[in-house]
Amino acid sequence: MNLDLETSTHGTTSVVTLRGEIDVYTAPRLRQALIDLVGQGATDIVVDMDKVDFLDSTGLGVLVGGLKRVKSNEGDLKLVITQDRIMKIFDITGLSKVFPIHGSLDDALQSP
Amino acid sequence: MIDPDVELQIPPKPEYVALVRHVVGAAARMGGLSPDLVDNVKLAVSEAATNAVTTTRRANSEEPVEVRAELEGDRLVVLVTDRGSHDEAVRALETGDTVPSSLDFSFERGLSLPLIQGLVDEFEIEPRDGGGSVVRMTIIETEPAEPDAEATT
Repeated sequence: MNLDLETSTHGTTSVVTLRGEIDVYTAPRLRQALIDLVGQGATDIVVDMDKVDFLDSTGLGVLVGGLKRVKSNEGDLKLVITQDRIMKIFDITGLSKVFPIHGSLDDALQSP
Repeated sequence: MIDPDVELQIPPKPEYVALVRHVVGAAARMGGLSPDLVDNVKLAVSEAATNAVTTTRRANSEEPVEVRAELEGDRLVVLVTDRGSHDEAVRALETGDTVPSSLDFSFERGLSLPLIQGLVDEFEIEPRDGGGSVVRMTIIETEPAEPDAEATT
């Protein structure tokens, strides 16, 4: 089991689409993708976790790191979460109050 | 009822944490835990195994990390043992400092312990005889599913 990661651009928003498992082994690749996007000047990022089967605290840490980075550039990092088992992890850690969370990619792209 | 007790050893490398998660998750499922609790077990054991792997590597050790999962009536007990430094294991767990970070992009830390505590019914970390640590986690099933039921995971 591994992590597939694709980045695309929708208008001025960069979308990172994840598929698979985010753990201590795969999280560094997500971190690098976010570093690259921020380095290229991206300020508005959506991370689509519709197809994420597993997420642990290292993955959460990467997402929080990304959020802090884009916030410092007046941007935002939104999440697409469609599964209860992923949402539960954000609820337990209190991070559901920190990230803008949307139920679909369209919703995330259309929100201000 | 299939006896779901499992025991495995992994090298202290990040790529093996997924193996632990899948084996222990399968044991929990075969033991009849509900799909929600199977998810909780997989995440909790991943967090503990990640911490054990990191602690072992920081001790410059190649000693294996041991994982045991035992079903005892309505509860699954998971033990994760390492042979690193116990003080370092506690520190890493409490600070969430489990990822060697050489890049200029910090991980948010400190999320591991609150996550584990939100997932399991009992959690403790104790020194191991001869060095290292033993993490003991207990997950109690309150709504038993049919053993071997098809899980949605």
